[in-house]
Amino acid sequence: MPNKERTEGAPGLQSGGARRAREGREVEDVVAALQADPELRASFRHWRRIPAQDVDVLAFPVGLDGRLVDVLRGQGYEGLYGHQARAIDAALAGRDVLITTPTASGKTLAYTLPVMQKLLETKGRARSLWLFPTKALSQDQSKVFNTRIEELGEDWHSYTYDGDTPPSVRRTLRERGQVILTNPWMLHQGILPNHSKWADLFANLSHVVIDEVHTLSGVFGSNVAGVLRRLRRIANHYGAEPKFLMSSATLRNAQEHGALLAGREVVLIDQDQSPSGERIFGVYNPPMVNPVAGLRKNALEEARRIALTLVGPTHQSIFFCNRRTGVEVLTRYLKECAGRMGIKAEEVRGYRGGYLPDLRREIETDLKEGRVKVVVTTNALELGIDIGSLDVAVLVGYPGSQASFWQRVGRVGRRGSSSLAVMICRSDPVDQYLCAHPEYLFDAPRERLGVDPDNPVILSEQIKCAAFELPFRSEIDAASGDEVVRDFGPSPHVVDILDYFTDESGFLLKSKDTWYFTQDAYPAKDVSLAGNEPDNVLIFDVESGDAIGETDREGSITAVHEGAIYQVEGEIWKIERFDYENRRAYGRKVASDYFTDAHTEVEVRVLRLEERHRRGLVDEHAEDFSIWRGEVHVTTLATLYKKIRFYTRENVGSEDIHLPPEELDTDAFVLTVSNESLARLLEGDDLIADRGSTWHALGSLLKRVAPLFLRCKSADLGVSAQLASGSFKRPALFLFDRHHGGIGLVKLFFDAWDEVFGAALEVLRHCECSHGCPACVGPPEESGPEGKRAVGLLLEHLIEGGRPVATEDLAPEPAGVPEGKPPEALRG
Amino acid sequence: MPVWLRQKLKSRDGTPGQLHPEGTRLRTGKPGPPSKPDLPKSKGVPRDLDTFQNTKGTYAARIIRRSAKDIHGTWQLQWATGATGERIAPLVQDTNLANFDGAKAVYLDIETTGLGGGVGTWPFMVALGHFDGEVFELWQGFLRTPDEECALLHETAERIRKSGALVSFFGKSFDRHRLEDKMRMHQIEPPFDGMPHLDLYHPLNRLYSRRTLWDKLVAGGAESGREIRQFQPKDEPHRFGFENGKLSTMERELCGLQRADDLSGAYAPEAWFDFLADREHLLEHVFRHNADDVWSLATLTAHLAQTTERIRPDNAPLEGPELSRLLGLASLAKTRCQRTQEASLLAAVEAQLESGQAATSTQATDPLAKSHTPRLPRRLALWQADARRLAGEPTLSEYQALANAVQDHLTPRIEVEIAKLLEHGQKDYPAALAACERARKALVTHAPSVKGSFRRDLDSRAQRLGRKIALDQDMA
Repeated sequence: MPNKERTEGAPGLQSGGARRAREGREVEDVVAALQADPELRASFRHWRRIPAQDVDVLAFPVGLDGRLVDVLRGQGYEGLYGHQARAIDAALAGRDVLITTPTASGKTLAYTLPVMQKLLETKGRARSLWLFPTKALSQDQSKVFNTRIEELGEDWHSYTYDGDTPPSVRRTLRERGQVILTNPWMLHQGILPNHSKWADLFANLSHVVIDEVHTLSGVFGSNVAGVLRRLRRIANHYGAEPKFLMSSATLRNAQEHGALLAGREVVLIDQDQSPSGERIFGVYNPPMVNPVAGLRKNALEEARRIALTLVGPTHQSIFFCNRRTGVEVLTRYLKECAGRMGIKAEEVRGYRGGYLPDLRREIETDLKEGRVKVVVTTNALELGIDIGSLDVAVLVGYPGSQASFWQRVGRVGRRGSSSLAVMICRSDPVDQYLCAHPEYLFDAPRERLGVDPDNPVILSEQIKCAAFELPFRSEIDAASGDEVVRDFGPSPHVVDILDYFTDESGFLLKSKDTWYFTQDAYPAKDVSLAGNEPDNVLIFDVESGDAIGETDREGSITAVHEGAIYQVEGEIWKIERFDYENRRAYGRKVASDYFTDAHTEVEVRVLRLEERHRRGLVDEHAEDFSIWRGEVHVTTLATLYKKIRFYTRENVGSEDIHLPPEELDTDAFVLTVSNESLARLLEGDDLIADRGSTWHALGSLLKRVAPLFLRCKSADLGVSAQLASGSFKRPALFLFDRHHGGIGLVKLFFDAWDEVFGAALEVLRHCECSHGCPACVGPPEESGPEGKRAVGLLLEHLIEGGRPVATEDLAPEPAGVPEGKPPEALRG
Repeated sequence: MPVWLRQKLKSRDGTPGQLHPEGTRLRTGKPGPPSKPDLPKSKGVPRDLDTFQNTKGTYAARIIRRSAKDIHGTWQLQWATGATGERIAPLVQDTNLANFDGAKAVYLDIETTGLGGGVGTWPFMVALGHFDGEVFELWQGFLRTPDEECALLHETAERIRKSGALVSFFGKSFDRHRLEDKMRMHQIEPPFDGMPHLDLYHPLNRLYSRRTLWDKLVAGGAESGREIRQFQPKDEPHRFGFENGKLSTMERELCGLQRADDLSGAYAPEAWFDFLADREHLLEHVFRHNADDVWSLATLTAHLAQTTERIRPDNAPLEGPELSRLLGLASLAKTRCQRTQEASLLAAVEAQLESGQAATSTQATDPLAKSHTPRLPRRLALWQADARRLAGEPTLSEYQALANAVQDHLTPRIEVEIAKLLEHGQKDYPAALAACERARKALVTHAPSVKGSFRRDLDSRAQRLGRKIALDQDMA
């Protein structure tokens, strides 16, 4: 590394001078500058270097067809990396494969080659179906694939099939496309319900390729898993047994996830053997400006400050924001100070969803060819759009999942040179946890993907679609003598659901061992992969008639009740009318000096408990605490809303809300602590904590750190904290899945409860605020004056000492409570 | 089933995102079927079904043999055997039908459990009719259970393959695809590719639908209602064609079939579902409705074959509105560039209209209103002038009369024709240029949205005329 005088960063330099000064500056120099900067260096809480990985390129797999090897040699390949070779070997051996190596490690090639080999073996008869999460990705990949085929000199074709495909082309691609690139929605609503039009594809289906399977989580992922069951059933009907080739970002439960999608065991390839330069990571925590309020400097402002040192003309930098508005603001900031960073304003570009395709292509090309020095983006550049490798990444806030984090930092790093990734933490429990525990990011993956295709609601919707496509047949299980259906997953309820649709809903007919679809309908049209979309409430501007936003069903009673203040990017509407029946709300633009905060009463009724771990008190038989998993019925009633003045947070009045309650049947994780234990903990000599506030603060903190361990949004979980639960007759904290029927999050939470609780405690311990702030338990006005300390004591008590053990005793009420007491209404 | 699961499923029944209990049709907002007539129901398997066996299993069919001389409506079934490719093909613009022979065709109509498509739609009744010497044999294949589908479709494919051609009503768009979808699903080779297929819907609509003919070709847009009232005698409601192109309309108006107690096809799915669930059902009426459909395919084929001659095989006048038929034939002649024929058909249309107008005039009480009634709709007059011009007849005065009668959105087109005739025929360049100028003015006032190419052509014509005038002046 050439040793240069570092004069850059000195204010007042003219841009030409700045450019000259920064010319030739390498990533190492940038790191040194950041570490030397007197203003910045203290806020970099953590530095980590991952040494360069130099890898011998292996030979080509022996089984790989000579013609493919020739094409690869022609493209300059001298061999394949170890993980690629192993993936290809497994695929050629007829296995289902999931590759979870990082961005830019050559995953695409690893699944393309087995497909091409199959085409060669069958002289183009074999066909495959490739699923991508976005249209843009499938169009990119189609181009790449067609180029490879051309080099092979064959007249084979790949086609993208999506909403934009003109009807005239559809027939051609149905009958002749060797590779069909599409997305889960088209497969669900277009292809599968019309599978006979695709009979040739299904009869010759050799592979199903699914890219970025880590995006298949939650309700969406569970539905897609059901769609894939339908796909396999149909392929089997036509005599094919396609193999699954999948790629994903790194996951804790990758093998399980792959197996769930493929319906059988998959070979997991997770050892990255591609060469990479040295990777340097910096974790930056903005300085605290108000320790009482726990307020840190704004992450976006800090990004600009760091940029002044970090950006330069020799390397390319990428800034990731979590919101689209962030992109626009930061792009403007950086363009303004481009001169001081030694670059031109036009070398700074924004890139996000909502830009027109042509503009996007232009920016992508300019990035690839080095003309753009700085790009500010959202997750739009997180998934595999080809922009080449860059040098420096800045993440303005943790993107919410480990997978996204690695996808983003994977955008930087070239062979033979160092790369830098800086994460700027926000005042948020998750970001603050990561600041204190950066090893979370670098050690083995911690996130579990929540997917549950056997969720009864999702399963029943998918069964409905599947029954339309092919009749269901049952057989008698030799061991149990029960009637079973074998081709739709392991749920014991498939037969029950089919019988229900036959006897109660009446749209299936059972004849001997077979259920037939007998209704004038097209069920896939009514089943949304993303879940409750049809129930969403659209919000309209009364004056222009334009739609200004959307909110989910559950949120609508607190967000768009009459009188609510609805905000979008700083503009304010006051809701005048909420047409509850038709799921529409109408607002008028106003200048308001207050916002509204709706209060709800949440009632949770336990329907069924499935699992319990219990810990007793040391010297007695009495219970200390228990964790539970089960099904609950949640009733949420919006009662009133307060008008709160901006900035001063002064309450300027309140009004009642008159809307029907929201009802939800779902899964819940429950923590119960015996009254004695809670009293002992929170009523010590020197502590006077408000039990209600503490209990509630614990719930909201757990909900907010949960996404560290289960791939979900904090908003996917609901909380109800009850000091006197009617069902449990003691303090109970419910964390429930906010999707009807639950989508597996609660099971994951139950399995990872100690990790979540531990992380919550770590957040508290490392938070520099004095009495609670938004980055931990919330401000003292909400969590109580001693809330921070009380929640800490409670968490310590729960995770230290003996672990609770599984028990068969699923009676909710503690022993010794007189029976026959009517359950009272429970208040959150 | 556990109680909690039942509750869960129940709570989902009927919520948005679920199937509507009455099927998708009601949710699309389209009008529902006509109210269900109160018809007698039956229970159990329909009568007169024979069971057959083929390589794919068993299936059932009802076979009805009628004398080919039988009258359906007011037409003999056997008249369809006179429908030859020579008479049919020009009316359908399908060369594949050049060797069509009504005596060797199969007449296809199916009943399904829905119009939406997708593999979950069952073609539960497949009817094929064909002539067997003196007999018209109707074969109605029927699914007694869904699992007979494969055998039934195998037989259907064989029967169609063995025939010389296929006749249907809207079958190219519907029946064919429903059968093809299900055949592919059962890995049965569909018989449709290359098979001559006469889909009666299209030629009959071209000849007899008011929307296709009068509204589109003659009256144009919102004007049609007013125009039609001017020319519509009260005793001839379909003078300009039928209000819709349904089979039931065509068979009634063209072949005199009056169905009694007919069950609308919209109730067919329900009838089959009722039967499957062992409830009382209306399937007997579905069988009858379907049989009537197939027999009507034969009589309508016969009727279509008589179009050019315009008499029935028994020499009685051919049913159906002559005016719309003439217009339809004229528009066919136009697409085939048979200009003389087009012009003479349009002359016949004119004569028809005048006779109709005479009829209307006798009813008119206001002599003043009568005097304002135009002789012909303007677009029709323009069409006629175009046809005669292209047939090589002198038409300048006709265009001039059209231009002088009234200024409207057609004026630019008319003036351009005048300019062309003056430029190339009379070689009167100044007059042609004047016509161009009038066209340009009319564009501004009456047709501001006319497309750019028309304007550009007009400009270059005016420029060329300007040059020619200058040249003439130089030579003079």
